[in-house]
Amino acid sequence: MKVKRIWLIWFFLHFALILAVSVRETIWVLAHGPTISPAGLQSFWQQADKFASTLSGETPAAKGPFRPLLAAYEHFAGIEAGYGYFAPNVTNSYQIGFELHYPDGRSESDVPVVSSHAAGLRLASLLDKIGRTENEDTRELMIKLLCLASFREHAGAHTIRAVLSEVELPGAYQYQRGERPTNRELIEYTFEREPAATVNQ
Amino acid sequence: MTRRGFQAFLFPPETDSWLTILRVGLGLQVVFFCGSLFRDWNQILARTGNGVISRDLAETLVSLESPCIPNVSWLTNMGMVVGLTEHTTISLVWVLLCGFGVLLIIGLFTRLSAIGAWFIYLCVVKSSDLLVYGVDNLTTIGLFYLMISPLPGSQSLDHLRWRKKSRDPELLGFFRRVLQLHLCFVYFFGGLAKCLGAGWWDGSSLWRSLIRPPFNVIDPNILVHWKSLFPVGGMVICLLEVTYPIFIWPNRTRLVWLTGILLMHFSIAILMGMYLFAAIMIVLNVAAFGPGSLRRQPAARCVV
Repeated sequence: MKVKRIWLIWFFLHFALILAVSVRETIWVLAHGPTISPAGLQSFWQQADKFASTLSGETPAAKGPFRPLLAAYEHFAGIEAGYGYFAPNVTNSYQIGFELHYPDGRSESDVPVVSSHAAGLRLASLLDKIGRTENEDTRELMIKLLCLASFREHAGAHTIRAVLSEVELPGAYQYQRGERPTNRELIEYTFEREPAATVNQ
Repeated sequence: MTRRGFQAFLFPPETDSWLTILRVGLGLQVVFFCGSLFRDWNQILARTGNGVISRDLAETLVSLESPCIPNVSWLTNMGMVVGLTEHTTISLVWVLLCGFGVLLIIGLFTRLSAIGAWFIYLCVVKSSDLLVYGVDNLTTIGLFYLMISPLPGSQSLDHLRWRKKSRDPELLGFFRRVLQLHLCFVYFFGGLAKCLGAGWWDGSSLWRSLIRPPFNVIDPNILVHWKSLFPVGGMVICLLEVTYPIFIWPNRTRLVWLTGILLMHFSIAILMGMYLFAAIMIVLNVAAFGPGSLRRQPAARCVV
């Protein structure tokens, strides 16, 4: 009976966390759209999003002593993220290309390469994160780290120009009319090889 | 529902057949996960300058949330204490994870294997946090529940060798309920988020998900012939997911919903190349709602 009671308490705490994370993600989706929610409600969802962000301890001011413990538990149980896969809409995908420049004036192109389809899915997930991140510094750091891998493969290159582009997908009817996916350049960075080729964090 | 009724719902006496499906399924999932990343393993988990992207960055970002979250650097630091190089430890992590997966499949040292598989899987996905997608969360969920469930179950080598088996049918029922309810949350909120996007109602999201790199396994020139079916397909997916918590429980509708969901995940594997994602969803669904779906399970058959 005592064991049952302990598991019951765990059950309520565990599912309260799952519910909180899932509701939090749904509010984020509604606040950041585009969704079928009426446009008049947009400011309400944005307010709700701010409130939920404070409540869930995402803002530094709201971080209490229990937040790291709760976060650790959420990661242990795999419940730190919601379940809105491919939702509310399927976004465009992202690509990154490198242009390597050598001291003798030569240049060549490169892309991040992995050996398997499974790793390819993970690389695509990384590019999505880079493309969607709103923090410019984080985006630059992530692209710089990808460039480091390319520097390693091309020992003689002294400069890399990295171009992040968005692959715009046509609709089915547009595709039938002959339109094809197009690349739209989003941002570019140029990195020079550092003596130790490391990134300070 | 009364308090007693709620407790009866949460702790129904159960056999351990669902736990066997979960254990073997997760074991296979872990082995396939290791196999699929065999050639890229060291690249994915390497430090700054040695891999696809730095594991240091992922670990730093995760540790900002909590320093208690394990990662591969914990293991490489331990390896260094006994004189192992970083590369050797990372390779050893692969061997250990794969080994725990095999032990789960055959049911040997099940508790230890479940804890080991969960811990190492968690270390790996947290150190490659920038490269993870849905499959990793769902596998962690499965391994977490497996680790705390009443192991080993009667269809395991542990039972054959040492006559060990799960003793409490009510606890077996409780953990099955937990998994069932969690899946209801997964599909309800996943379906709700899809319902909020106009693209799932007019079929454009379904089309885009099939032609979006790297999921464009099928030639769009073939897919475009079926364009009139995409709106129906999108709506069916939305409704199947959002109504899952309602129709998966009654005996009359369970088999229909379970079959629909399994077909959806099978299609995701074939049409989008997301084999691991489809596999974990199939394992979790079959373990949670599979046993007893074809016929009512009489309580007398429960393990006592």
